[in-house]
Amino acid sequence: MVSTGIQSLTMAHATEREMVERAKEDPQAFADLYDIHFDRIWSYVLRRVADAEAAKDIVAATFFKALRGLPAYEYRDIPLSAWLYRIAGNEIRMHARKRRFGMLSLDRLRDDGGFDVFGGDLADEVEEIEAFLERESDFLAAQRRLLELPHKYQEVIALRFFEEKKVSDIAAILGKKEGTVKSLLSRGLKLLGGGAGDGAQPFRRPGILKDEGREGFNSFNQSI
Amino acid sequence: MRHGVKERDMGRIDVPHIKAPAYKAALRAALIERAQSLGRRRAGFGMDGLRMFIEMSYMKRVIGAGGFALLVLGLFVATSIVDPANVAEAEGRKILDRVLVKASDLSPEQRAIVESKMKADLEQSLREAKEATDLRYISHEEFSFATTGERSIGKFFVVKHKEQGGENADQVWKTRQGEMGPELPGGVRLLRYTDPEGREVTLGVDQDDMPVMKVVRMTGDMIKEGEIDGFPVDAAVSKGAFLKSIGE
Repeated sequence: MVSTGIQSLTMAHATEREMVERAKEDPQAFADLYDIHFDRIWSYVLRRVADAEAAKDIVAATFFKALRGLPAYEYRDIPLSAWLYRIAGNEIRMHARKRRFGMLSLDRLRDDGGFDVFGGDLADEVEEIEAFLERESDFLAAQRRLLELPHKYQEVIALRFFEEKKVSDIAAILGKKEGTVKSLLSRGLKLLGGGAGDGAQPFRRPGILKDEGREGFNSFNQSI
Repeated sequence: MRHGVKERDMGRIDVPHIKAPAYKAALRAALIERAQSLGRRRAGFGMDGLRMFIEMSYMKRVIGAGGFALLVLGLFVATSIVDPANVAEAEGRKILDRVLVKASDLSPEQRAIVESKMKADLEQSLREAKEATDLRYISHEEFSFATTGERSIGKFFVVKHKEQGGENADQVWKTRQGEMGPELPGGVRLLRYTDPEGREVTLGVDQDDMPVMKVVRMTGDMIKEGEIDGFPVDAAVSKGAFLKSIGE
């Protein structure tokens, strides 16, 4: 059974490697890779930022950078998805920084070689997504608390609990050792519960968020 | 003591699964278009680079132009650097070719004069040089190198022509640490090669492409009692006497 699993994994790597090589030359092959990976990257980004408009920009930038960087990308038996997650993580980090300093704009994205994505139903879809997110109060409460953590903890916790990745997968995505990932997870969870240290700001008390109408936060907080 | 959030608590969070099919399709189309555009751009990189340069801010343009100039300079230097060993070899061959042409025109009398100057067999020396695989041109500085301090290295002497043996004792050039060999005439060009005996030979060629000297570098173990370089140099000179004569 184990050997079958390894064989299928090897075959999957070989197939993906071929697809990557084709995608370096053929836009349609890149589109095939995009079809395979869009949903997971979209979900990851949306769960990290809980903002449909921001997620759109970040996902677009992620795939655009992947497209631009693909000729230099070398497949080394680490799934392409790990590379995409890593790009997305960087884009999320940049997005947070730009938002903090008020520098984020579509103009900048265009200046960086990005592009606009047009579509008749896009505005409606964004509204639907926002409405859907609003109903996920428990998740939103956890996500907002997560945003208070330093980025390195946000990343590992989101990948582990939102994306349900194994520690080894997270290590591949982040390019870190598994021990480091476990350590980050452990410390991140401590901090998420209001534990001290490591430069993280203590979480806001439930009351503050309650004032913001985030009732879900309370139920999440009670589970801690 | 607080223990933070437990893993099972995090695991209980109901993570939303929200799809965005319209956005997925729109982004897909935009990416394909962009991929095609990038392909064209890679093909027309030169024009694109020029357009980028024109659209740059002044500072970026200065930095870009500076970088480009450095790149060009680097390429120029890289292509200008030629292996000095190859140059020395080519120059050596060129000089030797001219010497061979001149030497073939010499009358027996002229040849005798040349051989008396260089104190060596002209034909044999030129044949050695022609057949040597390591013939090269050397500078006067390279010729007058200091020894490494080892006793067996760096002793020079002028090989006398067979028929002219007997006077070599004062022809010995010694080159020890810090000491130089005899001064060379300014216009003499030097060719160096290894002879069939494995000895390092230096031929001096004057401005008229005529050999004027032949110097063989000898090490102690090459010197046999009663002879140097196989020639009957001086019956009185033994290996010990020879070494003593050059101060070893």
